[in-house]
Amino acid sequence: MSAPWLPGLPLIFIDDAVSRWATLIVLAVAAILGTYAAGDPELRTGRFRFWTVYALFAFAAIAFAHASGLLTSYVLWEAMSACSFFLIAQRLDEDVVAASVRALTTTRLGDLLLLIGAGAIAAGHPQVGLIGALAGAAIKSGQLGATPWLVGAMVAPTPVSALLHSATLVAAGPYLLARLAPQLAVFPNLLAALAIYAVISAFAGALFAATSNDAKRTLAWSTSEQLAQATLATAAGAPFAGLAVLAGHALAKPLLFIAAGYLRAATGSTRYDAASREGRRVGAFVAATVVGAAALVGIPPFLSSWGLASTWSAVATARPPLLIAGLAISALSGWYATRFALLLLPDVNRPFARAALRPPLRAAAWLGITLALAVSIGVIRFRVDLESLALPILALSGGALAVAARRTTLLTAGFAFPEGIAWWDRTFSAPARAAGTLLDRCDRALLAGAHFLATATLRIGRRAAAVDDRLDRDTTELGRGLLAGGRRAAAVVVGDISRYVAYTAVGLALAAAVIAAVLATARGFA
Amino acid sequence: MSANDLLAVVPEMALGALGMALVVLATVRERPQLAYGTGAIGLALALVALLGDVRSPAAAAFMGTYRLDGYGLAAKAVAIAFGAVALGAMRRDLQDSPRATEAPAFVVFGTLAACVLVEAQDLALIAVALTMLAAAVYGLLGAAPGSVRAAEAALKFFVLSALTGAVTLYGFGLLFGLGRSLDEATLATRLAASPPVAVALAAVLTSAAFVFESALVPIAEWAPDVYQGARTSVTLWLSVVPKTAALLALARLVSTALQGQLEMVVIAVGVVAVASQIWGNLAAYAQRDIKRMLAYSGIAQAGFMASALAVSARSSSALDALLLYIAAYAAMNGLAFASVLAIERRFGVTTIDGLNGVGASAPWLGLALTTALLSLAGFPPFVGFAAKVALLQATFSAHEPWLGISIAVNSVLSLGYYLGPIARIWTGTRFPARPFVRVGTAAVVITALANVVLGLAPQLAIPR
Amino acid sequence: MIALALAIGAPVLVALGAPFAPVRVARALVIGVGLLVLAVALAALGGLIAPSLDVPWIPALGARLALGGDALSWSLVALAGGLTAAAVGGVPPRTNGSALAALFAAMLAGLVVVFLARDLLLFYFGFEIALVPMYFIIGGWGEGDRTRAAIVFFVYTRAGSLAMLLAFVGLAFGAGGHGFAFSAAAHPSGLLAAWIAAGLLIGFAIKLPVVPLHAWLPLAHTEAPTEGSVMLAGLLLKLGGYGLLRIALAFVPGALAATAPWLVAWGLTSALWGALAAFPQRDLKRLVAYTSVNHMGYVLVAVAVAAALGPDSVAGRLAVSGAALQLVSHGLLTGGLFLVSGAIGERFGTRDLRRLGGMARRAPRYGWTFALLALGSLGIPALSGFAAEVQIVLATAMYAPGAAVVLGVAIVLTTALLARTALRLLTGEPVEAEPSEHRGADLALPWVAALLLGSAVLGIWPRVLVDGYVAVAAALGAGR
Repeated sequence: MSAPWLPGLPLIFIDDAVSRWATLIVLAVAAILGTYAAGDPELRTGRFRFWTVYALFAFAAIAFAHASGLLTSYVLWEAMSACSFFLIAQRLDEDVVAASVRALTTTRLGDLLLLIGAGAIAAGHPQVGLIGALAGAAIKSGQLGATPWLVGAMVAPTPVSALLHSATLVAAGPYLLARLAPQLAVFPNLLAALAIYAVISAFAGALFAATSNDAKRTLAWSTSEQLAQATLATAAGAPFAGLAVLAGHALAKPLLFIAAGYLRAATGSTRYDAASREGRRVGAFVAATVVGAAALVGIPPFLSSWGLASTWSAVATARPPLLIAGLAISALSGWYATRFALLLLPDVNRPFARAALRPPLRAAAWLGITLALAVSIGVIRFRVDLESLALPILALSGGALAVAARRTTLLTAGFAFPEGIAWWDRTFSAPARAAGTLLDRCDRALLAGAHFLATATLRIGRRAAAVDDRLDRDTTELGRGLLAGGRRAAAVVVGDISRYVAYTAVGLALAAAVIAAVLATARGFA
Repeated sequence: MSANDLLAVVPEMALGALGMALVVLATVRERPQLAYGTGAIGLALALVALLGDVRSPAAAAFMGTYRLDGYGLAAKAVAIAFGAVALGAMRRDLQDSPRATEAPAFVVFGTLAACVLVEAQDLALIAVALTMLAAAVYGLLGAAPGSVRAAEAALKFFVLSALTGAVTLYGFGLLFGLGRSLDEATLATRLAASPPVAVALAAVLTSAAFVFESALVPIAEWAPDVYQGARTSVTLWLSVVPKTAALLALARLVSTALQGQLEMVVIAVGVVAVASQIWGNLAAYAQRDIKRMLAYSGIAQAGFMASALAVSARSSSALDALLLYIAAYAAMNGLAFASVLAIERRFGVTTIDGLNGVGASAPWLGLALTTALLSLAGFPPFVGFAAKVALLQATFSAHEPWLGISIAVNSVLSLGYYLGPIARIWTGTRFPARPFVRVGTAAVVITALANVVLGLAPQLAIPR
Repeated sequence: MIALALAIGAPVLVALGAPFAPVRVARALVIGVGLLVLAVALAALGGLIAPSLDVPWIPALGARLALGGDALSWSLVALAGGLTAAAVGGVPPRTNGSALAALFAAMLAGLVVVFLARDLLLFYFGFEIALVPMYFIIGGWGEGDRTRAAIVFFVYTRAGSLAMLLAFVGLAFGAGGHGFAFSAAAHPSGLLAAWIAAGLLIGFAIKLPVVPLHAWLPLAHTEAPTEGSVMLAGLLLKLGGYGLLRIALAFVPGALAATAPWLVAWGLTSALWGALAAFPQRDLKRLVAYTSVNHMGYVLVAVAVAAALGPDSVAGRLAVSGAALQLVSHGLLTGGLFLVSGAIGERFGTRDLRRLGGMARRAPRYGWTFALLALGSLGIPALSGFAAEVQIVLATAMYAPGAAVVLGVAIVLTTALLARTALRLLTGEPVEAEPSEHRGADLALPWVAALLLGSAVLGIWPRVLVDGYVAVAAALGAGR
């Protein structure tokens, strides 16, 4: 279906299996989080505005899933960025304002790079164009170098963060790349570069997530890491694995966000150490945390397991050296997921605020768990409409099994032997804290970089405005100079008739002399 | 001298007769309306005679000493019409002068001189016309004394006109010596064959009186003093007719007699034009008195017209442009001085700062002066714009872009001092009520209409 | 023919008669004539009428009274009519309001003549007529340093228009041209074309405006009264862009193509400058004024790209139609921004961003309207700015991806700027509103809503205009 938006630039939409699944997932996530949002105490005011934009955003995401072609993708990317701006800016405080502006600005830059890429391709420079598209996707999904906006946007209300920054908006980048796989396959050097970048980005994301002390920021970095792995799948030649990672991530993250939301509602903060060690466990909350963590890191039968396994299998086939990083990444991801779950779920009583127990929130959690399970099992069980049936074979390859086994062991161990985890944490706390401090400094350096950009912009802007002011003053000075020149010119006329006669005589004599001299020397005059 | 010749100069003869009648009527001092009325009616009749002559113009009359072509016709029409307008303004303005009744005679003689000047093809006739014109002007200047400045103005004009007239006559003598003829057409071929240096000297000397009359650099210093010192209605006439007549006469002279020295003429006149534009514009900024500012503006405007003059031999459109500018200048400068006159008499204001509040007290007058200044600055839809465009077209099609660029740059340069008074007019509060005399209303109205009508249909002023 | 008489004659008549009517009647007349012009233009755009006129005017100069329009012309005429009505209607009546209304009608007449002129002299005629009233409006009804603003404005733009006039004369009489009419003027090449292009560029660059000839704009926009700023930003700036498209691209495309890289760099510098210089601004109007510099920089880039690649190539068509749409879109959105800024100033007594804030609670309509307009101005989808920017970025990317990246940076800077400003207005400490005698400020909102509606229509269905613009591009490419 094509909508003739601009002549020669129609918006094209297709309807295939991938887009249908993506639609399903978006709807599922939107439903889950919508239920959550209905009860979120943070979203008291501006409900009409919120729900309108929420619906618009979901619509845009679904439309994007059906988009074909870079231009259509770009238009819907912009639509999603615009909606995200409104969705973040709910509370209208200073830090929220800064975050939403930064989010809009950064995602817009990514969007524009995509558009420029589209133009370059149309003009016959496919490699340049694809680089543009890649850059845009990387920025939009918060990969290495562009993560500050993602992390900063966590100040938004929890359901907004969940919807935008873990499930749909950021997934747009890798989704597009997966769709572009056939075009990308023509440039193997591009794919190689992309693979290396994605691995580094995933590693960084996992590292920061593992050492962060704030629940929501952990989730932000984890998003960056997971999406990097989705990108890696495309770079390794298994785009459907990447799509699967995206889908699994989309289903798992909301659960973890709900958990973080509980923490926020209960204690007013999202830092791990705010979770006190007294209180009651709430069934839905526990299940959400555990299932979410498991689904995120790729424990079967969740979709991510198959997706991540396939991804690393493809990497093993295409670029074996990167597998080492894969092991490190999966280890780190297991660690941070476990840490997240455990630090949020101490095995002693803790008082959660009554507000955290509202029925809608609980319902959301159960709903999410059910859906995640159902979709995952459905996909794996029936393998509906997903091509690349070679993947089950890949899934059996050794490396994948090892990874999966490792994670499973870790998580199970953590639950079975909480003291073991506590020992683990204590033993490794010192180096972990050292690494954490180092990484924290890097993290702050990144943020400082962004801040520096902002102040530099302001300073340059001030200089430019000052130049304009000076130009204005110079123009006025020019006027005054004219006046002074005028006075000097008029000073010739002093009113004395003899002067005039003198001027006349001198003028005429001068004219005559000059002309005569010119003529005398240049006989060629007619 | 045939009957045809006489018929061809009926308007001039009428003007002459009128002038002499007015000299007689000037003695009837207790009834000035007699002189003025006769003058106005006579000028109107002369205009009718001029425009009503439906016969095809002959090449020349009086053995080739008197040209009769479309350009001359247009210029004469402008001069006569303007004379009538000026007379209307002078009637009330010079009321208090004991010698008011002399003014019409001088105006008519001056108009006659201007007509002869633009049509003469013979050097002797030109000399006569120049003298007559100068005499008329200082007669006029003296007709309304009562202030030292007016008398001083008259004297300055007299001395300079005498000096430059003498120099020009000497130049004519040199030309005659070189070409052995007083006829411009004959001189053309003979001067082309003469040694160029001699011709150049003669040309420079000849131009003196013309440069003086049209107030071009370097003989323009008299203009501010005279314009300011004389009575405003006199300045009204003086700033238009002698200047434009002299410019057109010089254009004729240059394009016929000095045809052979084209390069030199273009450059020399061009330099004079540019210098006048720049000096006039710059000096105008420093002025506080309106009439003085308009005087400097007039010097710059003469510079513009001189640009057309410079290329008048090269391109046929240059004379068209000059004519259009003459008509435009008459309309704009006439409107400017007529408004200044009316404002001066009504509010007692002579300075630019004093214009504060005119817009609030007499919006029509303010609008009139604003129109005049905008037209002088070259804004559509007034005639100044079309005239400037025609000048640009003439200079460019004559392949002298530097002249065109100078016109453009100087138009921008002139903007500031035209806008200053406009800003003053429309700020400030009403003047306190005082008894006033309505002076020059007809002049204002007629020139304003001319500005607008010619602005929208400038082809009316281009003779075809 | 009747349509032309209406479109031009009606504003002239109103301009002549309005000073004599009482203020309310005069304002109603101007609003009416503005809407009339809008209706005529919409009828022409819709293909219902196709008025044109071509009679001799000044044969000696080869000038003809030639009027006629295509999509580009009529869309701008529609903008002129609509914005004039909005500017006069959206602001409470002032002292000497009748004279002010008459000046607006005169400006409208001049603008209609410019946009419909098919003759260079007539173009210049209308150009000047559109400018003169602005001087009086700034000088007579402005605020603060208005006299200086008026004079600086005028000298700058007059200098530019004289450069333009010289170029027109060159086109009319140089290299085989025999008149000012579009059909009679020359299409020069070589050195003459270079000079003419320089003159045209200087003239239009002052009007667009492009750095460094832009210094008049912040001063004029800030000191002018609200309705004056609306006309200035919404329409008078368009004269430059229109001139580039209609005249420069048509008559000296070769010269433009040869210097296209410089022109693109120039336009990008201007866009960046406008965005950067806007950041430290505290006066709301001055900030919006700088965004105009930014947006018009895109137009210059687009024109250069169109010249370099040919107006009827794929990229050229995008560029031309993007530039044209940007003109209309910017007029709608920035006109609205100035109206709202003025209304905010009236309502709260200040336009200082440090003191304004909290509009979400105290004056939500103003705050959210400003936010919507600001977002439209930065190019949010579904409003017209997006459609225009997409085309311009695409065209630039097809020409030089590196340049497009710089363009993207400029767009991103503007995004940050306008989003931050909009949010800053909505958040923070609420400002005490002036007492209700300033309720007149509410006049602006219905008009702004209409402007937003227009922008939305163009954003969602840009083809209503863009089809016509593509035809204009094709015609330019064919050398007509």
